[in-house]
Amino acid sequence: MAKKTWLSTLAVGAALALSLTACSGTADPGNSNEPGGGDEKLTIGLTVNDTTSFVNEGKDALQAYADAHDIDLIINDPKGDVTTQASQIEQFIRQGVDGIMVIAVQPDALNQQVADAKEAGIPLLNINSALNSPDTAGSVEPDDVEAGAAIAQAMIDHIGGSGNVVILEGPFGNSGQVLRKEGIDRVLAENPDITVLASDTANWARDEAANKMANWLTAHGDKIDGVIAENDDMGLGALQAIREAGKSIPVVGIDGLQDGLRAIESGEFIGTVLQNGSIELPLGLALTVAVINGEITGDAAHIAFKMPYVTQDDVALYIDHLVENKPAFIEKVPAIVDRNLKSGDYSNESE
Amino acid sequence: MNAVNAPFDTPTTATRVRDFVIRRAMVLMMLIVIAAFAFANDNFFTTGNLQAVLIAAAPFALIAIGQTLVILTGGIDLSVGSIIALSSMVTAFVVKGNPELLWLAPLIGIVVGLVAGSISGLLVARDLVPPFIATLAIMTAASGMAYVVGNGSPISGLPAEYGLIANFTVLGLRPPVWLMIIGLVAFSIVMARTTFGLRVYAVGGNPQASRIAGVRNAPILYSVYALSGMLAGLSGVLLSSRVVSGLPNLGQGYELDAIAAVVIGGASLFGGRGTMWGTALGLLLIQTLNNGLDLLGVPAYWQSVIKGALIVFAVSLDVWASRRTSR
Repeated sequence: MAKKTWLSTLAVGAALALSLTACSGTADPGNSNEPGGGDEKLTIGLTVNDTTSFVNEGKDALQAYADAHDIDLIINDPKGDVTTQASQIEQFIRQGVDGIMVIAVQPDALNQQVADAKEAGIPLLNINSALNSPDTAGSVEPDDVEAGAAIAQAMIDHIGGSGNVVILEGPFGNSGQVLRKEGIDRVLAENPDITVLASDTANWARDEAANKMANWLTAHGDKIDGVIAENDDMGLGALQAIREAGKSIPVVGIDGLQDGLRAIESGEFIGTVLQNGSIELPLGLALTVAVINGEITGDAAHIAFKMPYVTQDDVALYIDHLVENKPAFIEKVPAIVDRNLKSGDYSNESE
Repeated sequence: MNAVNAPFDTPTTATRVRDFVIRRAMVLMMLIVIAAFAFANDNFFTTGNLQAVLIAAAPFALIAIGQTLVILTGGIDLSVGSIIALSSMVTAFVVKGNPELLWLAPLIGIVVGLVAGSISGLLVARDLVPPFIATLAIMTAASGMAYVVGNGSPISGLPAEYGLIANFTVLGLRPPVWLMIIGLVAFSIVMARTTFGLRVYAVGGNPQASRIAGVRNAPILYSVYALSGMLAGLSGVLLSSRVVSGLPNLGQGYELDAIAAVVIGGASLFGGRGTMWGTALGLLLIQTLNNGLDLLGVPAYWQSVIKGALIVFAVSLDVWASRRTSR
């Protein structure tokens, strides 16, 4: 009996919420459900794959930014499934949130939901990964092609312009993999003296990369001069296999995970392209708020986020920010991000 | 092969033929695969590569042993991959906060796995939920818990000694490889020679008959899931030590590879039929394929296709052989 009451309350509540948002959606298409709601608490929905290290590294800073600006942030995890992500966006629209942030699972599958959000007058921004839709209100996209090109170039320079490399890739078809590989391939095409001995996916995973690299070490023996990994996790897995085989082969990665930065410090990684979630995710949130308030519109709301290439020379600063004094850094993030959004120097981490 | 009948019937010629066909067919296939890879790549037949195959196989072997026990009772354990993740996270969490407890790490992982496995075991043994559902629930919950432990993040920056758990060598082999060998040998003996082994086969072969024969099914059912969870917990510690971190997505999908190994090894998903030896063979076949296809540069997705074909082939062979004898 008690259960039934609870259920019916829920149903009535849901129906009420639905009708309310439907009303506000039609009555006030230009803004959200709070007309002139600049002073009201903003509610922003975020749908993001929770499983990647990068997102996790940035979540605290994202929350810090939300707290600093009194924003109500709802985070949902589509668990790598694009249809789940589509439903989550639909859910946000029904809830009548003020803005939606999407870290897309796939770039081409959400057009309908993005269009729905636009029609409902809710700005939808894609953060961190590509989303091929004309209806997004803005975006913060790291240049993955450039990141791929940067690590390939760094490795080729490191081994002196000629030699043999192996490439560890993300899951085929994943936007990170596609774009980073595009950059890597572009640089490889300019360097005919570089031979790719093997190239395969290790699905962003450390354990899988360790096994794959062990097998490649068997297949190609001492011929491998360098490892280009499309993320740090796979680079670290490769490093483990290289250690187990008693060899020393340079590795380059992308992300700037704690362990990756430590590997740069010790000289086992030659470098990594730092994708600092603690800067990029709050920047996405700051931009979303600016778009909701009409402060940034049109093309200006589409930001290309330049990711720095970190080497042994400057790794100390990033270890300080991301590892050793992270809480202190996160406290400063809201101010840094607000400043960067104004200045346009988006990845600047200095205080 | 047919260990339920083995102690009661004298094997007929037909059974012998069937045993021969199944066992030798898989062994033959393994030999063909090995010969083909050895022919295609000079580096295949090296001690270094053998090490690589065994190291990659070890974490799967531990969960495949547990999976064999569960499948012999007619159940299935979907939770082991997530238990690996949870065990790696809890162990890394404890060691990070208390580096002096490093020596406890394997024990922590085993206990985490035991607790998770015991919950599935209780649910199944008390006949509350079917195995598929019980372990699906634990799979989902354990995966969630793995993220809860690290607040969604992996745990890294562990003391270097943590990496030693899986990475030192004893008589030329690393601890995971030793544990795999000891586990497989020990459980083959347990299954073939002890009352416990016999009862596992009996519960899976015909639960009604085994009950009438005076076997209490519930404790057997409970213990196979608890063992499976324990072994998954241990596997999680070894994997996480290998990469010196706790990863909430570690072991993802491993349960399916373990089930594949058991099925390729000739076990019946309806229970009562299968051997540790078969599982070991199925496991090594999968791992040898992974390794050899990597050496030849075959992309990962083709490797999955080939593994799928292998499963169908192995099971068809098994079904075909069973029909031949029952006629």
